[in-house]
Amino acid sequence: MELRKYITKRIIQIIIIFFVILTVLFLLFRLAPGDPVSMMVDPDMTQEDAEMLIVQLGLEQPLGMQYLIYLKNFFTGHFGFSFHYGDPVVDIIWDRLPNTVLLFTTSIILSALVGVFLGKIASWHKGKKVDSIMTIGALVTHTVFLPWLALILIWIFAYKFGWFPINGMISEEVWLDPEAGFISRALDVMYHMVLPLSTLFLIHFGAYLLIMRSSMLETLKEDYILTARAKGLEEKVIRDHHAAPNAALPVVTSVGLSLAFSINGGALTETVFTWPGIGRELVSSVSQNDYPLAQACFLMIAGVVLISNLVVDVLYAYLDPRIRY
Amino acid sequence: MALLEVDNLSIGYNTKKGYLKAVEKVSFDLEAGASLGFVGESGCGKTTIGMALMGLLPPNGSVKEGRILFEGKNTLEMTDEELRKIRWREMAMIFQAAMNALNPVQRVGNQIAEAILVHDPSVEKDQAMDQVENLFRLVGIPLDRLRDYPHQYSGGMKQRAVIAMALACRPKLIIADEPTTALDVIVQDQILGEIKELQKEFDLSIIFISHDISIVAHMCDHIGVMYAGQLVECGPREGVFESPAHPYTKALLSSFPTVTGKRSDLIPIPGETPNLVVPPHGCRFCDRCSGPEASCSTEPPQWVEIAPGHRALCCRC
Amino acid sequence: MRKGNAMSVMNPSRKRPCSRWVVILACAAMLITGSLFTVSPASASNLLKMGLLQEPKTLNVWRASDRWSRKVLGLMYQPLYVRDPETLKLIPWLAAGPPLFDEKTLSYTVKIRPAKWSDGTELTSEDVAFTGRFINKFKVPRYRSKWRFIKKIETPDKQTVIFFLKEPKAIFVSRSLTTPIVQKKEWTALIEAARKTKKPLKKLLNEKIKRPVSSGPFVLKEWRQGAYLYLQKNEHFFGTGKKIQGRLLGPYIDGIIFKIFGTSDASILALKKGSIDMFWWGIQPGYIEDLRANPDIALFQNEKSALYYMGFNVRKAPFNDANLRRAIATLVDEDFIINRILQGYGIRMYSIVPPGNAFWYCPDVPRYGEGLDREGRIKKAFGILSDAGYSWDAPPVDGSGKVVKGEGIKLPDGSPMEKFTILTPPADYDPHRAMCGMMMQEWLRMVGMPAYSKPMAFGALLQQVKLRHEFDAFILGYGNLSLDPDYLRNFFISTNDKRRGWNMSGYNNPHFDKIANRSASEMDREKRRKLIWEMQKIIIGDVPYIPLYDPKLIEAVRKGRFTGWVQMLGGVGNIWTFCQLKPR
Repeated sequence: MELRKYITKRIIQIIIIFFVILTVLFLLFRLAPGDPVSMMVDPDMTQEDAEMLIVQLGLEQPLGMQYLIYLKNFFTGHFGFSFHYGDPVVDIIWDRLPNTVLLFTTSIILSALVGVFLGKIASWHKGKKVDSIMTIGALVTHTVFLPWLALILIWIFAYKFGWFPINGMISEEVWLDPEAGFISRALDVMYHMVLPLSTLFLIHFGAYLLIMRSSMLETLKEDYILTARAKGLEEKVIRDHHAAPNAALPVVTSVGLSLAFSINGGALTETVFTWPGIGRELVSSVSQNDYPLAQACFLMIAGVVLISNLVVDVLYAYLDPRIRY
Repeated sequence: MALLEVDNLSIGYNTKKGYLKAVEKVSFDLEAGASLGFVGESGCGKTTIGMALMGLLPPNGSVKEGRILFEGKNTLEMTDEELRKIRWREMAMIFQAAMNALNPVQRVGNQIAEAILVHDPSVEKDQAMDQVENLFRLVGIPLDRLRDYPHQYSGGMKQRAVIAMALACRPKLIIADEPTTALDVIVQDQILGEIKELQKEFDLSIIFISHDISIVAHMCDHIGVMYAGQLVECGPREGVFESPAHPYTKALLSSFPTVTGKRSDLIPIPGETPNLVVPPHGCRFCDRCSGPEASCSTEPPQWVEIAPGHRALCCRC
Repeated sequence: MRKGNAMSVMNPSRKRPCSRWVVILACAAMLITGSLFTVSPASASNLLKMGLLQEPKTLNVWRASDRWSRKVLGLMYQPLYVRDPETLKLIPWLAAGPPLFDEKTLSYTVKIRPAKWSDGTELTSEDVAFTGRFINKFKVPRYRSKWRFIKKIETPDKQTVIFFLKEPKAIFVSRSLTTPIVQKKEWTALIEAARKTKKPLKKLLNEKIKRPVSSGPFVLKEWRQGAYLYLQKNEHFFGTGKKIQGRLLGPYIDGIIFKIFGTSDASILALKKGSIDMFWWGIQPGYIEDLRANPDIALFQNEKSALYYMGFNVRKAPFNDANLRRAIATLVDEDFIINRILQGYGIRMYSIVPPGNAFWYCPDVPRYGEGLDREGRIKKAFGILSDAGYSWDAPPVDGSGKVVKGEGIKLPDGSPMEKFTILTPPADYDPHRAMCGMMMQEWLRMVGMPAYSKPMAFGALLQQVKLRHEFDAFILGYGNLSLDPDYLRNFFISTNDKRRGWNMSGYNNPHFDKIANRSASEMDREKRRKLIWEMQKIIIGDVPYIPLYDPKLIEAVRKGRFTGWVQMLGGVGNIWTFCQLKPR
């Protein structure tokens, strides 16, 4: 019952935040310098052509009217038409979203699991070689410049060794082959996912490792760990059943928080690997002043962040009875 | 043979300032069913002794010399695994900070059952839970709180749960380190009463550690007074209280008009406890003693037998 | 002495094998997936694999506003006339012969070839007429201005179209008749649907064309958005087996697969690795040495029809003075820009029209500072400015004729010249233009002008220059100028000096306007050339724009699988290449 009330409260908060974001986004794009039409025209086009484009894109309307249309488009779930694609924005988003979700959630889950696992080990061997190697490794990969790392991985594993494709999400050889079934197509996607996933993983797992490590070290000082030890429990049980669940709580929060920050890295990774996701669409639509698409991409990301924060909160409540009850 | 024989035990910690001699040359015996209370200011080494008995010294702590014979076996020579197996099963501990001694993300009942299960693989989970129910009845926690989490308990209930946990494996020895410090006075009295009853009922040996001499007096039939890492006086309760020999014991007792009278906190004795990294060569209480002799600060004091079983570490006695 | 550590349980002596296993498993998984999928780069069928920097946005030919869509659409939708790769003259493509002009009725008659749509139906004069009428009827942006002067279109028979013009228009052949022709049948159906909506044009432009019916050498086979676009050889292509301009047309390849790379780095790696046969985009000078050393790669160097220039805001002081602009033109060292900034991969521009566009390019325009060294340039500019009444606190040329650092330049009216900015795109968008801005700043400061080069995000720059007209000077460029020089008129005619207008400088010269308007309606090519030359002379005389350079286009292809690349202005990625490319 308590949990339900808590979730309801959080959902109401999220809806309010979402509307603030909705409005801020609209203003941000309209006030930011740049003119969508100027970027679409070439010297063959006359003034008249440009004016027609403006009307066609709905940019001749006063700002207030544009905002109302924007709200209407949002509430009808339509989001308008992309300036460049001409397709309904919602179609484009739905087409790209699964790709981003696939890459992103896999990388977050993988890096969180591995980070927590390694952080646990590092804390257990505090001050030893294992710990130093892991800590330094985590710091290095976490702070490295992402596009650089991505290009290095491409250069080594895709170009020099030729183990993986340079970029993309699928290869035409497999998808054009009428005999290729679901399994080989799924494998093809996984095969293409290895490098972008590794990039995101390398960038993110270090943070989880470091958080888990310091959290573990704090937890190990707690009295209940002493109790557990006095009870004569095995070390493994103490570490995995008593220390780790408590120590993992801050990691769960940080997954939620880091999600918002890792969008940036996601967009870069998608761009470098030409992964057909929201992040890449976001980068290109912003640079081309494709307002409807860029707004929808931002909204989608804001939505994903808000919802995943909610999930994290609920998960936290589930993991920590002090919040649940 | 005594249940527990501690012989010439010295323990120290590696600290940034140097090797800190937390406990020095402490010897005592404990018979089955008997109770021994250690009393002294904080930092005098009484908790360190408790931890050493359990084999739970922190990583920077080490036993320098001495023996701990539990039922005739030296626990200091046991492997980690052997030690792990006698822990809780033979000797359990009620911790100083009972408030935090329970894992916040596990149900209280499960935490107690865990102790039973780990030491007796033949017990099924259900049986263990039945035993936990019995323990709850014993310490007076309502059975419907079995599946609660620690934060749902009051302070007194947590303390009772910790006691129940200590009793889970029917140990021969329980080390109770300040078990009631964080509780209010009424709950404190109830809990102490319960511990005493349980001791009788199960014929437990108890080592009771406290800075509060009145509690120790109330709980134990033998008393050990500790000062600056040394046991300075020990003997039967009556002997120590009626004819204290060591000036420190006297100073402690002077704060208490009667043994069973109104309790108050220890009145601080003027002066400071000595530095344990570089302890004084002579008597450690010398600087704060009311009537030291010239030799006190130069010669280490020797044990003096006051009465049978009652001795003190003072050259003036 | 015994250590308490031995009994402390904080440090288990047992090693945990789990971590090691994770590493081993991860490595194994990588190797297995890696070896499973090592696909041979050269696949069996002869599909040309083409790298694109961005994905085409749409296959709706009327909507396409990005160059990637248009590159791909250009292989499907065909116009009546195209450029010959050598002479650059317009030659009949879908048309069977040159357009016949009748001065009396102001009409053009075009015969079209027997041709078929990709769905097998016949391509007739009806389709051509429909395309023109459709553009006019719905006022299709981008094409409307090329067709609005058409009064009516007649189709006396299936192979003949007659276009009646309202007024003489020089651009009719080069612009109107190069419009891609669409199928009447397909679009009539779409119009029916669009008519029912409130905004039919919007509906038509946003129409998603899943299966474009086209007439070019290739047709769409499959487009998997975000991954690849597969064009297949068009079995109904009208040119197959025919000789046009002495070239026997194919296509000889089975199809083209376009793959998207996002960055030049990734594309060039893919090219080197053999995942693609060609990267359809200019190679930056930085990559050229590496590619040149690669035996599998062939590089092509071609001219572009491009113009990179510095423009002034001539609406206000100080750049409303042509003398000041001429002095600046004198100070610009184009050779330095080309040799140092472009590392030699560029062509000197003297006029607004690139020299590669030989017919329209006027070689006879004023050449400021040609052949002078820096001192000579400063002296000459000093001369121009002094004669025009400019003065200095410390003139850049002292009494003895020595060049020194000039300071405190004053306008002819005696007021000091205020700080002015040269807006450039940022270095990450175009390092060359940003660098040019910096050089201009230094050169102008030598004579005491308070010049400040300011890189600005591209969108914001366009907004300042084109919409708000709030700027002093800027450096911009056109990477793909049409070969018909009508843009000269567009850029400098006074009627285009308005919000979003093409006359960004605000140049206003009634004499120029008159000639420009005459050039637009002059139907005789030779006579028009005279006018166009005259316009170039006026503009370079007044220098609202200083032409800086025309970068060369370097393209890279793999040698191994295909031959027959056709080089022409604008690079090897042209319709002729795709019709003539043969597997080795």
